[in-house]
Amino acid sequence: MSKRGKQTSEIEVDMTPMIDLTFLLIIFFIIVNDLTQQELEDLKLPVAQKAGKDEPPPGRPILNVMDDGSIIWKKKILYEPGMQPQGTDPIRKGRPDYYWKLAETMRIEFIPWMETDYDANLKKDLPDEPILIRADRNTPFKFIQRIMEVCSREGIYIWKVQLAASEPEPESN
Amino acid sequence: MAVKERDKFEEVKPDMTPMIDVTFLLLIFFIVTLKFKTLEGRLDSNLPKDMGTSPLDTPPVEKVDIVIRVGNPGNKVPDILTKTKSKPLGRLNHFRGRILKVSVGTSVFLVRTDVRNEDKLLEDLSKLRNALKPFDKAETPVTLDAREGIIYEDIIGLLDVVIDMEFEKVSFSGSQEQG
Repeated sequence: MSKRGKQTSEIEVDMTPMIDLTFLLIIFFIIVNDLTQQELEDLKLPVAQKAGKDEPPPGRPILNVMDDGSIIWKKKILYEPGMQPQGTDPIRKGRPDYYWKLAETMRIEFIPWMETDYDANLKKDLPDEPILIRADRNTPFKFIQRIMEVCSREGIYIWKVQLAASEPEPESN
Repeated sequence: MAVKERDKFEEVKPDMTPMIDVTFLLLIFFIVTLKFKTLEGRLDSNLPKDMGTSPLDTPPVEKVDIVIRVGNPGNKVPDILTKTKSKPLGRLNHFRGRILKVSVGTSVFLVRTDVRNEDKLLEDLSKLRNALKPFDKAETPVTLDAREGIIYEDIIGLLDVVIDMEFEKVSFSGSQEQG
């Protein structure tokens, strides 16, 4: 009688390995998500045949430019249409400065982390590292020109600019 | 007595089902929200090191100005026909039927930028290539002068040609009048 009772008892599956595996997978996805999602906005790059393979140097700032001209860096909006200006634009003399936040971010967040190189002609240290401008293919080019202007402002002087483009797909015709 | 003894030392088994449920939900969430990093290319360029617009006190060099204007702005259409690896179809717009007026020196070309009509695009770009051929690649600075209405894609397309032709000094210019 007692033997029969044992035979009909519940079969218990050992869940431990499955849970272990599931946790490992979760941790994997959390880490992968964190690394890739932060800086790249959802936009469509133009295609260039000669685009060099991008091996991002660690810490290179990426400015995402949406097709309405708004500039996003690490999910922070540095410029968007309709933003309140502050002060006057040092390069476009007499015009209000709409790009003060971008300039401020470049001075505080980009420049201190960049290696500098002494330029004998201008007699000052210039940042020797690039930034990447990652603009949507429909962005009016004047918005990119504005960023380039901000790069040349007093105390910034970023002169290495990379423009993101995607490589052509072999199957498209 | 014997029964009581056995009950005392019986293993306590927590019910794992809710935890596994939650764990699976989390797992599915992370799988769904995952976007793998798509490999992107880039084109390098250098800006002038001086601040703002610099007065020209250097001896003038022979340079090529490529002035780009919009001949026909085209229409913005949902992107259903071009495929991308990372983005779902039909979410982002792009221009169709766009025509650019590109002038190199005195010669003017029309460039039809429709990527899906590649033959026409290549034909137009080969005219531009011919116009750029006589210049010295290492010495002549090339200036891309984008006028109002030019979008990033147009510039990248032309920059691509200029870099492909191995011009080494490429810069951008723009008028200050546009808003």
